[in-house]
Amino acid sequence: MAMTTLATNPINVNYDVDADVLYLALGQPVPASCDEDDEGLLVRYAYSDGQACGVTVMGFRDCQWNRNVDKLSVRVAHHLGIEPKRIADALSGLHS
Amino acid sequence: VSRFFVAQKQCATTKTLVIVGQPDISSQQIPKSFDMARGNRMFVVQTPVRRLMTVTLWSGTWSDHIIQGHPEMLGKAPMVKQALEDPLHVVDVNVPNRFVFVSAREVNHTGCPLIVAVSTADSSGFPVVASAYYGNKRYLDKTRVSLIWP
Repeated sequence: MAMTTLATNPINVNYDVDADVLYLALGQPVPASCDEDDEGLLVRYAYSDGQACGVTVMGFRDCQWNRNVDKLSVRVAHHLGIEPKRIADALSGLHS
Repeated sequence: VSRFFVAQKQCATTKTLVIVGQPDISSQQIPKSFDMARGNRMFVVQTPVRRLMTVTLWSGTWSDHIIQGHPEMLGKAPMVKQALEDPLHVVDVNVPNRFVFVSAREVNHTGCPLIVAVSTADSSGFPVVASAYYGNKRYLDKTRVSLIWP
């Protein structure tokens, strides 16, 4: 059931251009705590059920993720347990 | 010349209030109080870190991005300010031009500390709060992080 929810939730994208921080969430963002992966992505785990519910990308531009959206999509999708294409599609407007 | 003042005084030429015992920031420019894209300054706080002397939090950054992306931060702005003023330590991270302040006091219900990410690459030329969140407990252990302060 949880996977069904994950699969149907839209990807919520919020990019802070000035601070260069990209917030990605499965559906509406929910309260969570963060853990860094080895590439510096902040994976968010929901207080409610401990499931990965989002990823925050510090330095989206500075870390050149804007030029490696495919790689970022794979990593984020891996953390969230969804298809990379969904992330890539959600980020399609942020490539420049 | 000592960077520290021994008495409180009003600097008549700059209209800057210098606080007793604090580093002299009167010679530093303070970022403008309003920005079309980012709204008002919520605060400009003095930190103990020399190269990050003052850090600004913009209302737009807070309400349009941090709260939207990290809703657990709702109501936590005072704790963010406190973490900048009186951190447990300040850590270098694997992101260019970013440092994180680890709160000495604020943790969530699982014991994860409040982390405040500061960017030094802001277009204003001044360090700004980039984000805030509850991070891994390893940030509390100074032997497991790359300290820049103390």
